[in-house]
Amino acid sequence: MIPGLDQSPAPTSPSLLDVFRAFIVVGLTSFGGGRATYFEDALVRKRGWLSQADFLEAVAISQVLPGPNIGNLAAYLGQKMHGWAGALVAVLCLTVPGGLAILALAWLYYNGMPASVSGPVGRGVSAASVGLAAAAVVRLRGGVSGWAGYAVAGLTFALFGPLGWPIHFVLLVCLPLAFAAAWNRVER
Amino acid sequence: MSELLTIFFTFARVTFLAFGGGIGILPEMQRHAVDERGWVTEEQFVDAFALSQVTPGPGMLMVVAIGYRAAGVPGAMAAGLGMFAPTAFVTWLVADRWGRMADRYWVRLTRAALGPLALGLLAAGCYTLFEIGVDGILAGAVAMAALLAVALAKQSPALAVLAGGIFGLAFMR
Repeated sequence: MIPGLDQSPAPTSPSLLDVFRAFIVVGLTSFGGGRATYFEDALVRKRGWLSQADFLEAVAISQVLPGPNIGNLAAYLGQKMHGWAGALVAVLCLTVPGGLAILALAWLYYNGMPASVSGPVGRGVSAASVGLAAAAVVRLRGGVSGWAGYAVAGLTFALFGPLGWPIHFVLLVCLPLAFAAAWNRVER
Repeated sequence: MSELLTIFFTFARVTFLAFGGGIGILPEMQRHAVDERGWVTEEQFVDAFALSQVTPGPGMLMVVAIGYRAAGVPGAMAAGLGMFAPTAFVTWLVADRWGRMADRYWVRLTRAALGPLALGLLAAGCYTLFEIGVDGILAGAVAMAALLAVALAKQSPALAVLAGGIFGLAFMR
């Protein structure tokens, strides 16, 4: 256990149907960027299946591994909720509804619908997504503790965000610091 | 059949280059889909991305629109599978092994170390979205409203984005 971290909800094992219910809502409603917020809302805030610290760990691993972050996040969280079947259900719930929607729009588009109709809606959605992504950061701040943790988070943000470093270099610099910051907090 | 395999492996190869998010591989994807294979034109590629912004699910589902153009519905499926299945499988494998070792000291240490890193990565993702999505006062106000609605008023994320889309349609033409 790590003192001072939000580890509150006990790990539960939801049924496959529970997993389906939670992830299909995300798959049907997760418009815009900042999609990690949808998972946080459904799994941490609403259902308490995961602590904030557990969720941040899932985010880190799904970003460090190659592939679309949110697809990976679904696979990781699904596995944690209900093993391989949970992972399969989670990834399908996330991708199939949106995939069908894009297929329908693509058919219309290649048959003459101008893409510009999606322009204004897309601009509003993109703008709201920024707020959504920021909300995830605000909500999940409890998963980090101590000034050293926040310093590592701040440095990671600066290097990967405004400075635009490739992820490998960001990890090369920030991972050792993150381990150093965690060193005193974890009991042997 | 060989065309479907080509589509699958093209996107499967690109997806393994996507470290830290999908946005970074758009140029590489464009090189394959537009320049090398000629599945879509440059304009159609950009429009496919635009379509993915108004549909739910991952933005990288845009490959479905490209695969569809290349080889119909089977092509769409091959593209989607190539983009998501291989890396989801790798992530599942890691999550499975990782969960079994949860008691070991170095695993607990790594878990504690990953928290701050993830918070920083999420904040950086927010910055990238800001650069793409906020180009004026109006968009800034929408972003701020969404942040307050979700973080403070505990509204559902979908509601905030729906409101943003409607606002965009009404005022951001």
